[in-house]
Amino acid sequence: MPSSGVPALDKVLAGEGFPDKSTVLVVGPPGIGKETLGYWFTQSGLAQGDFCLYVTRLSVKEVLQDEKGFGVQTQNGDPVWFASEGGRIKYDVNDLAGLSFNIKEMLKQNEGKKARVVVDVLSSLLMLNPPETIYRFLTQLFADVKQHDAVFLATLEEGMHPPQVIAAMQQLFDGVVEMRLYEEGLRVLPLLRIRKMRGIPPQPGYYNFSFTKVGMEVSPYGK
Amino acid sequence: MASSSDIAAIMGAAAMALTYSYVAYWAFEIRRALAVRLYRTQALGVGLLAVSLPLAQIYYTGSTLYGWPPELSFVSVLFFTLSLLYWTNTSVRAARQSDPLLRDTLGWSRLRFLLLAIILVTVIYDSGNIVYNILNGYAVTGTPTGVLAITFEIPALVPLVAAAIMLPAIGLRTKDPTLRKHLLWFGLFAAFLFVFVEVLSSAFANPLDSVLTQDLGIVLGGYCLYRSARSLVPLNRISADEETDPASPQRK
Repeated sequence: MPSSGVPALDKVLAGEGFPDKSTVLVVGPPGIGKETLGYWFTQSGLAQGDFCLYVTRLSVKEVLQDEKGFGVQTQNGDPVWFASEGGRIKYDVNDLAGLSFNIKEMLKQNEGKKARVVVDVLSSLLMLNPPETIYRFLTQLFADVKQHDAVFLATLEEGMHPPQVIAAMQQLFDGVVEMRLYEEGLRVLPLLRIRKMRGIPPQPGYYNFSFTKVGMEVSPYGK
Repeated sequence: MASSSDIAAIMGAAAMALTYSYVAYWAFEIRRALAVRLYRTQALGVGLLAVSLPLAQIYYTGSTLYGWPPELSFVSVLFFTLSLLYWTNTSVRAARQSDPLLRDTLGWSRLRFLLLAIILVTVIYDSGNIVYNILNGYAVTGTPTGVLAITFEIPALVPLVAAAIMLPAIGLRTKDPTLRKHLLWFGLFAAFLFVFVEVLSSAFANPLDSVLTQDLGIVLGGYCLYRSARSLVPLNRISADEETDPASPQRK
């Protein structure tokens, strides 16, 4: 099973990481650090020699700056960037067909290798298209991605879409990791929860998480 | 012994301090819980506004009713307006992040440097002027005069005008309901300040009545700023079912 790149999160995921050939959704509000999971997941893949594709609506420069801010080490090389600026492939938010084609093409070119695809464009796509269109688009894309030995990780912004759209998206993925802010009295706590994960028994518990210069710490939450 | 007007002024200041301490607490608490710098700075901006506004008003009360020196009034107003510019900047950048097309509203990424340069130049000029007058024993309030008097207004006016133009622009453009809610509550906060501080307070001839009207508007606006702070990100609650779920290994 491919490691998430965060040992503490791997422990929560039955000690191994994300399931093989799976699609994982990370849901949370802007600013909570969802993309960081994508950064570590990519770096862990690069360290193991996997093919990594990073699809971002930002420029490569912005993502690298963000990675640096979280202390993510990039000495293992770069993924193939599919970005609005500075990437090998230019990302165009209005070109759903191109997005799908390029992801599939990249996976085909790296057939035989384990692959990791990280996508931070889902919220943008949902803002510009009807949810049904994105639902169909993802269903087709996942069917193709799963023909390869790939894990697909996407982030989705909480608070930007109606709850029913988020619920529909969650149904579509094999695994859902929630990173949310919870109010407890006068405190605001960032908590993580594995809403579902294929092959892993349901986990009703919450976990505290925090980011340090060397990674992410995850520990069981208790009052 | 304190007169009834002193007590009224102190109570007004205390109400503001309490209200805005609570607002600042929530803004800083949300900032602490967030991980990404941009959103942390946005929460910090709200917190700084919540600290600087009552300070500016308390100092205004002091200079109006008790003749506190005006040069510090300039500093307290500057603290508030710079906090406003800081928050406006982070909010515009946050709006860009949530925009699928990553649009730079009204060229803000370049415009902000121009505005900052204008403010810095006038602040340096004004500060130099104040220090010069103090060292030479001249009246601070009397200078600069004529056209140069506007230099005292620019550091306060530029952030106010920038906020008044940029915030409706990003509020109308954004498709992010969380940001829209945050801006809407902030707009109500600004409306309370404008109505009570600029319009209603000037209807009173007595300085104490005028100051107390302003205090009331600022306290009422404090509720809107509190709601704005809490709207920075969606805040969830752990449901009672989950808390008592015996299957939950983490809820011991």
